[in-house]
Amino acid sequence: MTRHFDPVELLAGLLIVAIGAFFFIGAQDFSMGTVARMGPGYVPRGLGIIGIGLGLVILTGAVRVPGYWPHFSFRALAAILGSIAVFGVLLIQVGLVGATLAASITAMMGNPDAGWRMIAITSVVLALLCWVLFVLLLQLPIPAFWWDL
Amino acid sequence: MDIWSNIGDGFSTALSVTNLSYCLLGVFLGTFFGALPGIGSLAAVTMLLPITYYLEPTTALVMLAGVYYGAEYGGSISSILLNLPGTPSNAVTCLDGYPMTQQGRSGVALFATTIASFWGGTFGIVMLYTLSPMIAQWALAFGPAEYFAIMVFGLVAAATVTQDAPAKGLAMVVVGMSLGTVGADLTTGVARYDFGNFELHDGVSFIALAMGLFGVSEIILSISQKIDKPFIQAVTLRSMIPTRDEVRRSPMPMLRGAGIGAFFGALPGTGPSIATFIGYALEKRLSPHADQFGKGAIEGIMSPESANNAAVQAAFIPTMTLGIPGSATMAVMMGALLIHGIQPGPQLMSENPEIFWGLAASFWIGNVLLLILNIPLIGLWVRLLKVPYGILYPAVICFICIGVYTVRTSAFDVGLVLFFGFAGYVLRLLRFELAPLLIGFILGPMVEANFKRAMLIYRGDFMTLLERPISGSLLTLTGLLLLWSVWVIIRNRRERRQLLVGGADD
Repeated sequence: MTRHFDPVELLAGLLIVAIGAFFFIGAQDFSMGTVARMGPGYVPRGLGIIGIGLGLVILTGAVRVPGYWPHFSFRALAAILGSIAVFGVLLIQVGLVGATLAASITAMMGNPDAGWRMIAITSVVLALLCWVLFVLLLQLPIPAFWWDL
Repeated sequence: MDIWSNIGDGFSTALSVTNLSYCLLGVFLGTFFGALPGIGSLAAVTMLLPITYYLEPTTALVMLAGVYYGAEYGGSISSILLNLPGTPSNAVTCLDGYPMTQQGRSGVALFATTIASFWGGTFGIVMLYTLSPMIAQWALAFGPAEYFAIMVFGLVAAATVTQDAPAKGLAMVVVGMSLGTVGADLTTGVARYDFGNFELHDGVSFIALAMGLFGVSEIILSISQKIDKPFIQAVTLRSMIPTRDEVRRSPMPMLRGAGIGAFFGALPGTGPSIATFIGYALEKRLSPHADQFGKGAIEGIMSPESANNAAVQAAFIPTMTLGIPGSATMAVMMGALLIHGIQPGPQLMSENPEIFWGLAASFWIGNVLLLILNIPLIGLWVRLLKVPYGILYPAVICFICIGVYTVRTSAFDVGLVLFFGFAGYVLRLLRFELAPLLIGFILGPMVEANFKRAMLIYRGDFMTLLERPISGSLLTLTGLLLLWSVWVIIRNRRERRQLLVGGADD
């Protein structure tokens, strides 16, 4: 625990200031127009300024308040985000069945209690289920295997 | 047109074979996802949104709404049996529902909450029937100034009323609105913030945003904290019979709960969760058995569950009549209508009466179906709770990816889910509420369009907005809300600093 500032509020405030600044600076590329005839840049600029202001308000709440650093669980995060990335890449390379299989295996790496047998059975069953459900029954326009691409 | 003939037409729409089967599918899937702890009604509705993409708009809405209120019914099951709320608005039901399970009386609790949910839902639907035509009639006279004011009021209310950190709620609204500006500008067609990606020309995909923020980040949080699987007791029909005393004590809490729920459900920014808390607190104050609360008092589950379902149905009133979603789930529902090219608002009832009245009729049919699903078939859901989360979440991730990909056949959107999943996780760690972000994203472009239109009409004179009676009073209310938030912020600071001073002594 820190005594002098609340890390969560500090990071939250900084993040909001950064997002506000991003949209404000980005809006410089678009014409501002006048109040009566607003250009595409008018509203984004306004939102950016309000965002920066609110971020500063959040920041003032971080000082002289006790708090904890947030707990970041890398394993869960990496497994889930990795699984989505694997799915997106493999879907257009090898089709739905392969992508689902790989995505499921990756996602289950995030669970420390899952044994390799549980991972294998769940992933194979899931890949077959998705194939039957989405391609054969619902006939969604997704390639099932690489020869359907 | 006469209201009874509208209701009749609604039921004939809702009772068509297609709509009836999708209603059943919706409430079934809703109960399924609601009963699973860790997947709320919002994630369930978002996840099933892509399936409805190919359906008729009415059928799509019938199914999604079924998922929503089905999840609220199902959510009480895991509250009662596992002490884990299936959806956030079932949290209060844990307080007295789980003690009943510990006393071996889970059957009674499940039966009682189903009856309370059914009553609350029915009351909410009656309110929807009676209030919506009046509000829509009144709102037909609204111009851009009124819409701008009412939307700003809705956004500020959603960000400040129920949040304990109003500045962070408002910040989320602004981030949501900023994300809403991505893509071609409505009047000039200038591409904003697309960084050369033609996929962003139509704006950020709403489905990818909602699934990443709510679905993916929720899974990351759930698997990073382990959930123990306790023993689940069997529930038989015989064990559902309540005692005579409980039957006598139930009706009044149920009636009061429904009233509270319908009121808070229809207001922007409040919604089901706060209604359940108020319903519980009120019963505790009124009950002669106040000492039994928290130890399995029947009033403690009747009132919140009735309030919850009344609020869920009443939440459709502002969405359907004004086009203003009061909660994140209603924002998804409105997103579904917009995807089908239908703009919710006062014109909806005159231009697409079959959607409004058909949907309203399907609500009641869905509630009857839920009564059947939750009383004779309760054993099925109890068995479902035994499926471990560890094999469930990979399936949910794959369904999310497939769903997002299918909507626009776009791998780019899968990448967006990845980005927003990460963003959602970070924002949750930093104790931000995500619902205001989604509402801001949906309403942002409409606020901008109405603001531009109003300023064009009044030649850039902002004072005109304050001088018109409806927009003026709404903007004044918004101002008062903001002042109140400033006071909340200052008060919270003082309390937390006091905590620091007190903590330094030990």
